[in-house]
Amino acid sequence: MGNNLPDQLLVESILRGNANAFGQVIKNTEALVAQIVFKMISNNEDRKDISQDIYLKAFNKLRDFKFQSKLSTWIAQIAYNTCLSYLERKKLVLAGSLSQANDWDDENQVRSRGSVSKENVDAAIFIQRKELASIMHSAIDMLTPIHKTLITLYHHEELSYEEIGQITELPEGTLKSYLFRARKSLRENILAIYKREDL
Amino acid sequence: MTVHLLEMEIQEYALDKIHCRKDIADHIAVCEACRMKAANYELMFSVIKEEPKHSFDFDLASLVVEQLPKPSSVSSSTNILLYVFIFCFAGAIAFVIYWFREYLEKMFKGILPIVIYLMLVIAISVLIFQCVEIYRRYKKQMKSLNSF
Repeated sequence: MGNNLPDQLLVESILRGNANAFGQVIKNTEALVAQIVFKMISNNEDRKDISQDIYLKAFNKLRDFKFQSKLSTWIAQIAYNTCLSYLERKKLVLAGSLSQANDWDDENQVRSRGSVSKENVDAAIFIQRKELASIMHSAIDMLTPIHKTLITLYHHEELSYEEIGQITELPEGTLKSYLFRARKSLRENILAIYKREDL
Repeated sequence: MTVHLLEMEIQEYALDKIHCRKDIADHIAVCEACRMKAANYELMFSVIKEEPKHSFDFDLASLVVEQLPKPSSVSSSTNILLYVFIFCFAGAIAFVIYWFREYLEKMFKGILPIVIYLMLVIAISVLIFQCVEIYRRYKKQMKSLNSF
C-alpha cells in the first residue's frame, strides 16, 4: 500500500470523474483481492476476467459505499462474493465445506482418551519447520476454496474476525467454526502428506 | 487413562497462549501429547505466515481503468449549483450586515480603534494561515492522485 490517501478523498475524486484515483484504489487493494481470487479460483484465465469484473463492479457500486468499513474491506467483500458466484455457477462450491461446520459443537463434546486415540498417534509426529514449509502449499491446496480463503485472510493477511466477517458476511460464531474446521483439515492434510512422503 | 484437551482448546492455546484459559495452560504443561499437538499448530500458523503472497502477473489497474466509462457532464452542473450557493450565501451575509448596520456601528463605537485593528489583523492572519494550509494539503493530495 504505497499511498496513504484517505479512502474518502479517493472516493470523492473518483465520483468527480478522476479515473486515476480509481487506478490508485486498485493499486492499494489488489494485494488483498489477489489473495482471495487465487485461493478461490484455480484457472488462471478466469482469474484475469474475475479480477477485472470485481473492480468494474466496485466502480459501479461506489456511490453506495457508505464508509461503514475500510474501502479495502468493501472491495474484498465484492471479490469474495464474485468468486463465490463463479464457483456456484461452475458448481464448484463443496457442499461439505458448509455443512461440516455444524459438526463443530458435536465434535467438541468428545474428549479424546489417552493412549488409544488415533489423534495422539498423529500428535506424536513432530514435523520439522523445513519439511512443513515444503508441504504447506500442497496441504492448503487440498482445502475447499472457502477454507483456503479463511485461513489466508486470518493467518496470512492477519485480518481480524470482524474484518473477515465483513468480507464474507458470516456471523462471528459461524466464522470461528469454519476457521476451526479449516485449521483441523489443514493439519490433517499436512499429516497425510507427511506420512505419504515418509513411506 | 488421560483425558486430553479438545481440538478447539488446543487451537485456542496455539493461537494465543498468553490469554488462553488457565486450565488449558495447566493441562498443556503436564501433557506431552497435547503439548506436541499445540506445537504442531503453532508451527503450522507461523509457516502459513511465511507463504509467498500471490500477485497478478498483469497490470490490473491499466486493464480496468481503460474500461471505465468517460466522465459525464454531471460535474459542470454541480459546479453551477456550487456557484449559485456561494452567491446566495454571500448575498445573505451582505443583507444581514446592511439590516443590522446601526447595531454593528453601536457595538464597535465604544472600542478603541487600535483594538479593532489588532483584532482584524489577528483574524486575517489566522484566516490566511488556514487557507494556505488547506491549499498546501490539497496540492499535495492532488499530486499524489496524479502521480502514477
